[in-house]
Amino acid sequence: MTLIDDQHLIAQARDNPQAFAALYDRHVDRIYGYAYRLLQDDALAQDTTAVTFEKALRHLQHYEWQGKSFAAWLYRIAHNEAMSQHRKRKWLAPWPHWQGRTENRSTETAVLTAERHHQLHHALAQLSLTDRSVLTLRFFEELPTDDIAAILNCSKDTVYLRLHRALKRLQQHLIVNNQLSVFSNR
Amino acid sequence: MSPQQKFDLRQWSQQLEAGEQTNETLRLAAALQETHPVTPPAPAAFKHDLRHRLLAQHTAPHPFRGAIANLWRFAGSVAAFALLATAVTFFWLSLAPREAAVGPIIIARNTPMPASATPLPTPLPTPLLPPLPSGLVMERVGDPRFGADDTVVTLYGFADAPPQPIVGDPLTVHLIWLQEGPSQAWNSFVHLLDDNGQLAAQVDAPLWVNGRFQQSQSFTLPTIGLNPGVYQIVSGIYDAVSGHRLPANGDNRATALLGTVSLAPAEQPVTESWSDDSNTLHVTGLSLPAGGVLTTTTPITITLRYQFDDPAALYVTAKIVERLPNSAMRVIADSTTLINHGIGFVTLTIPFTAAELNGPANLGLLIEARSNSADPTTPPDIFFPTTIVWRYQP
Repeated sequence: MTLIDDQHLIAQARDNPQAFAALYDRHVDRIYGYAYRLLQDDALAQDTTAVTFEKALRHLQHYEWQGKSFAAWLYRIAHNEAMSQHRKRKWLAPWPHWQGRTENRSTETAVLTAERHHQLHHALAQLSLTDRSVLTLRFFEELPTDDIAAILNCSKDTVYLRLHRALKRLQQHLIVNNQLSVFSNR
Repeated sequence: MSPQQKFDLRQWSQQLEAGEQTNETLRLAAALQETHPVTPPAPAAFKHDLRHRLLAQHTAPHPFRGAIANLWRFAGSVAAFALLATAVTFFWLSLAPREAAVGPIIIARNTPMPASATPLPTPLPTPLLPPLPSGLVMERVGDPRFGADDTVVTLYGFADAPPQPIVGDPLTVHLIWLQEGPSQAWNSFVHLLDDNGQLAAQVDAPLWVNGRFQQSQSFTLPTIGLNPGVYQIVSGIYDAVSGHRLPANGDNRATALLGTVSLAPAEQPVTESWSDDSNTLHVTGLSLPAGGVLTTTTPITITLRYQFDDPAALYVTAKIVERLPNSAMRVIADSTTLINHGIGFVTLTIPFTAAELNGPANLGLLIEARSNSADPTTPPDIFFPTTIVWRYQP
């Protein structure tokens, strides 16, 4: 999938429901995943996903291609909606139990890696939603910095600043839990 | 953020993008990069339902969609503009000086106003004012509010002077009093003060009549016998029992300046005068000049200016007499009126008829005043045989 593909689909989706359906099929899992990582609640993630695509459909006529990916636009809608859900809920569910890939490693290594990831995940769960969102977009959604800046409505320098601060806070949580050495001695 | 911090951040971001692991935060970033958490996919049923719902919502563009959207945008703009205009209007109205709308007002015509006079910024509350004579200009002078404590009386008014008043012209002053709080038996007055501040003419009237506060009053100030010049018209209130004046505007002035009037010299001087130690009487106006000839039985109007200190009231009678030989006189007609002590003027109209006469005759004017009787046949307290004569020639 390329940006041009999305651009053509968007142009058709304004008049053609099937084109919008193709866009939906392409991005629904990513948006749901991002919402789920932020909100840690399946029902809230579904609500956020539904609102995101309903808003996208409603404002598709006014969407203008400015070099940013359509996915970034969807992420931005989803991010704002997730923040709104978070403000309504006023609390965050704990990060769910780690479900990572440990394939192609020995059993001992796999257990250690899984343990290390679980600790990292636990520390992530203690961060604020703002910190979690920038870390999620960067390291889990693997979006380029330009797109993250567009999603968070800030400059690239601000994205790096937020990333740095979020990693610092994550480091502090790991120090408090005496788990930083696991990552330092890898 | 200092320049050094900006530099450090820029360097750190470059290291992050390069995948370096030279410090703890970069190592943590690398660890997060390798985590690859598995996110549970969106439930298939949810995806299917949402897809179906979105496709149902998606409709082909209506041919009038653009026009309808533009119409809504236009309506929104109009509503926003109306809201803004309303807000601005309320804002300016809130800034408008409202006190002036209920403040004291003086309306004068062709009378120079004091320097403190400022134009009225807002319309008067019309129910408070009588119909104004045409040609009058509303002006505001000072702040005529009388009283203290819980009773305040506010004065509105205007002076109705001739366009170019001369000595002898009556000056009519209309006043409207508004009362707040309980009132007492008060009298109001209007004074004409000369340029030395001395009283030149005055009229008093009760402001509390038959148990009711009187709102509207008209005063006629005499100018007969006054010197030409500029005079101030002032007004005030005093207690009818004690005679104490109510303070005006919270100080001890006790009078409010209504306006000024410039009196030009009279064309005719005072015709006849009479006086004793404390009282003065002038004949200042005649509808038929002295020495004139009467050919018909026309009423004759006489204007008198008076200044009486004692008694408190007088019955003044003007008589037209037939001059007979040997200084004898015979009364042909008369007219009587009551005047109060003080300075003022009075006009009497004598209904002259020729029924008492047998052909041509010499006529004269006789003025009498009585303190306790209106009967012109009783002996007078003041007898003023004028030298004014007329000739009756039918």
